[in-house]
Parts: sequence; C-alpha cells; structure tokens
Amino acid sequence: MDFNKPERINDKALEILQKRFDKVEPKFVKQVVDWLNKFRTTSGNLVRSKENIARLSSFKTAVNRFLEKAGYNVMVSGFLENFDEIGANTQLAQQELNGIDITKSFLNPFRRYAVNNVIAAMQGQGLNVNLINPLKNELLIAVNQGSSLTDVVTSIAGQLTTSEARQGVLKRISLQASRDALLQYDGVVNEAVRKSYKLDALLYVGSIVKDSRAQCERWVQETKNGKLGLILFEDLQDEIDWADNNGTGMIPDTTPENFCQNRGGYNCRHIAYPVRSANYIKEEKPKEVPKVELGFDKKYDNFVNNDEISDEAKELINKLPKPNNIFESKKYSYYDTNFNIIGMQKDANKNVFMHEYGHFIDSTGKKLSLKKEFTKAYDDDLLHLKELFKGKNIFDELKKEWKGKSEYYGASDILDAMSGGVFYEKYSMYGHGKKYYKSINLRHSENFANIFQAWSLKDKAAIENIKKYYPNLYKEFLNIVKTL
Amino acid sequence: MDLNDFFVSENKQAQYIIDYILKFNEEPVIIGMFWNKPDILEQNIKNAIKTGKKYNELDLLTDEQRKSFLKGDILF
Repeated sequence: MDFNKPERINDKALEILQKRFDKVEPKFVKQVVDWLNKFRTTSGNLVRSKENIARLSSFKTAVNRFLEKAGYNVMVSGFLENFDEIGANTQLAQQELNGIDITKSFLNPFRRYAVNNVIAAMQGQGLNVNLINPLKNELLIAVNQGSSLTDVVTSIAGQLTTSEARQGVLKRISLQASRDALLQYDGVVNEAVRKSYKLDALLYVGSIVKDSRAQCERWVQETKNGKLGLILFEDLQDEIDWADNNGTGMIPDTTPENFCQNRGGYNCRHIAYPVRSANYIKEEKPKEVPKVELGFDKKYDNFVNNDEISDEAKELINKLPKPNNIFESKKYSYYDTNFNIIGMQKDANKNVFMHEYGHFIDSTGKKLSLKKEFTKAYDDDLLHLKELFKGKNIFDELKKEWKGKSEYYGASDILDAMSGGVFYEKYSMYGHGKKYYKSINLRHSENFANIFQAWSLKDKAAIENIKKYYPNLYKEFLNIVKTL
Repeated sequence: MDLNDFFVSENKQAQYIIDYILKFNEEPVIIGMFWNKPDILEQNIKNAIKTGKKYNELDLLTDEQRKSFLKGDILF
C-alpha cells in the first residue's frame, strides 16, 4: 500500500489551488482598488459623508461580487473536488488495511462537513472575520478621520497583494483553510472508521523530512508491535503524554479519541489509519505436540511422548523409520544393529530408552557417528579438554563434579570413551569400560547416543555440561540432526 | 588418540576390581552392559568373589548375542 499517497494528493491539490489563486488575486485586488477609488474625497482626503458611509456598508457585497468576477468561487468549487479523491483513497486504504468496505454513504456526511468547513473558511465566516471585517473597520476609521485615499488604497492593496515578503490576506486565508480541510477530512473519516468498526490500533504513516517533529519521527518509526508505525490504542495516551513532554507543536487537548484528527500537531501531514492489531500481531498458536506411535508395547510410546522429551526429538522419531522390534530384555538394555532391534531391561527408564534409540538412529542413518565431521569433533574435544584441565587430573576433577548425578551419565560415558574405559573401571564412573572402548567406532557410537539422549530429553543441565566439555561433538551432532 | 595421551590416571584400580584380580588372577570381563549402573557391576563382582565364580558379562548374552557383540553389532 502507498502510504504517501494522501500527502501527494494534498500537495497536488494545494499546488493547483495556489496556481489558480495567483490568477485570481490581481483581478480581485484591482477591483477592490477601483472600488476604493470611487470614495468621495476633498483634496485627496476621504470625506465623512452619507454617501461614503453608505458605500462602506456595501463593502461585503462588493467584495463577494469581486471574488466571483475574479474567479475565486470557481477556484473554491474546483478545490472541493479533491475530497472525492481523498475519499476514494480512504476507501482503498481501509479495504487494504482492514478489509473494510467504506461506502460513499458512510463518507458523505464527513465530505459535507469538510466542504462546509472550506466554504465557511474561504467564503463565509472565515472570510468575514479575517478579511472583510478588518478591512471594513479600517475604511470606517479612514472615512471618519478623513484619511488620505491614496494611503488607504496603498494600505488595503498592500494587505491583499502577495509579495515576496508576505502572503496577501486572501491567499493566506485560502491556503490555510484548504490545507486544514484536506488534513482534517482524512482525520475525521479515520476517527469515524475507528469508532464504527471498533479498531484497536493505529498505523501512523507518512514521510519523515528534516523538520519533522520528534513525536512524528517516533511514531512513524515505531516497531515495538512488530509492524512499522503500529501503535496500540491502549498505548495512545502514553504516546500523547510523551509528545507533550518531549515533542513540539502538539494541539492542546489532543486525546486518544481525537488523535486521528490532531495527529502530531498543527499542520501535521502524517496519517493515523485505524487498524485491527490482530492483523499484525499474530498470537502464536501453541504448536501441536507430535504424538509418537512406535508400534510396540505402549510403554515405549509413553517414554517418547513424555513431556520431558523435546518436540524436535518426537518429530525426528516420527519422521524416521522405526526399529524392527522393541521388547523387554531381562538383564540389560541394548541395541542390535544386525537385527535392528532394541531390548529394554524391564526397569530401564526413558533416559535409557532414548540412549538406545540414539543408537538406532545412528545406525539407521548408516553410521552417522562415523561421519568425518563427528569423528574430527571427537579429536577436537580431546584437545579442548587437554587445555581445559591443564595441570590437573581430569578424572578426579570430573568425578567430583559428576559422581551421583544422573544428568551427567552421558557426559561421564563420553569421558570413559575418550579414556578408553579408564573412567569406568578405575574411577567407578558411568561408562562402558576398556574392553568395549577398545573399538574406536564404538566410542563414536556411544558419543552419538549419549548426546542424542541429552538433546532429546531437553535436559538443560546435561546439555550445558556436554556443551562445556564437548562443544565440538555437540555442534556436529546438531549439524547431523539438521540433515535428517 | 585418547585422554590417556594427555592425562595420567593416578587412581588405583577400583578396590573391588583389585580384589577380583587377587582372587582370580585375571580381570573380570566387562563389556559395558551396565554402563549406567556401576553399582550393579560392583555388586556382581563382589558376588563373584564371594561365590568363587568368575565374572564374565559375555555369559549374560545368548550365543547369538555373543556372536553379534563380538562382531560389534550389539551396542549398550
């Protein structure tokens, strides 16, 4: 959506108005001057006569006639057509932003209101208050005082004529009134849309230029709600307070209720479109927890579907092929790569199950643990530990840290693998022992299964421990999981 | 390369292993099946010392499993 379009419509409307006005003004001034020159004078000074007083009383009628003749009223009528374009843009904006179809009948009262404001300001009360009455008073004084007609004509023509130094009175009235009307029309419609459709946020849009106000910059660049320029209605009073305290040019008594009209202050060119915050702030639906069915005894499904198992692990298990069998084993738990079966010791818990399932995933992936990145990570972590425990006995140190803590079984077993079974047999820590770890391939297999176990169990302590002592293995494990 | 290249194990063998070696003049055959239950391993070895029957975890496997294990197909 083109958020700068309203500014362009307004700029274009004002540019055309100004060009037209530049043709109106000299004609109007000439007629006023001609009319002034018809006052009776003596020796060049105005005479306080019945004729001159009567002439004064027809000033308003004369001015209106001169405006008509100079093309002013046609210019105003032409300007009013801009409200149709602004209305069409508002309809488009509401359709695009909120899916709301704003009808012409909805817009018409606001259009009438805006048109009436323009007419009042440019042809009615505004013209009386700002042009006709002040000039008439000046003339009355001049007639009463018998002032020089030349001085009066010079003064009045000077006030009406635009020069480099200042705008003529009529031009100032016209441009200010038209600018206000254009800016207010959008604001009034937006305010009505917000209320009618119970919209709970505003989208503050428009361009930022060198002399933009601090509050406008703040609101146009607002990002805290995930959408540039989105301000929640409930936060609006705080924002207005911020502008009152830190910004400039705010219109007094600006409230959330009239914010669409007043926006960032006098002559603010920004627009506050009412919107539904839900269109931009999406509430994240709770992710559906994957349900795993392995196809064997339900107690194994329950291990995997346990809340302590991560959703990522559940998804991975669901996605990959399943073992040929999972069954109860009398004395120990194991995975047989040849038959692709898992035997679970009857008292073994979900931790052991995830360890064995890690073996299965490793094996199903054609020995993921033997990928060169993973085996290199093993060597890198040996060097990492060498540096970490320089001058200390790593086995004593880590036994102290891990002994009796089930969350560190896996880390202990990895250390046992790295020590070729020493940690298990000499330090009575968790591990597979010397005979088992004679095989380097089995070291990699167990490392994979241990990390899979910690990862799948969402076990923060275990994962942090593994990341601390085996950062390369953990990183490569995650890289492997991403490829599955 | 393993940790023993960088670190010297100063701990003595676990006492129950030493006792086992003194009794049977050989190490018990441990294949890692009680990897997460060192207390069971300790208890089993102490029982072996008490009963005089050597401890060999391969005996806990079926013939088929033993063959698989020796081929490297069984993982604990």
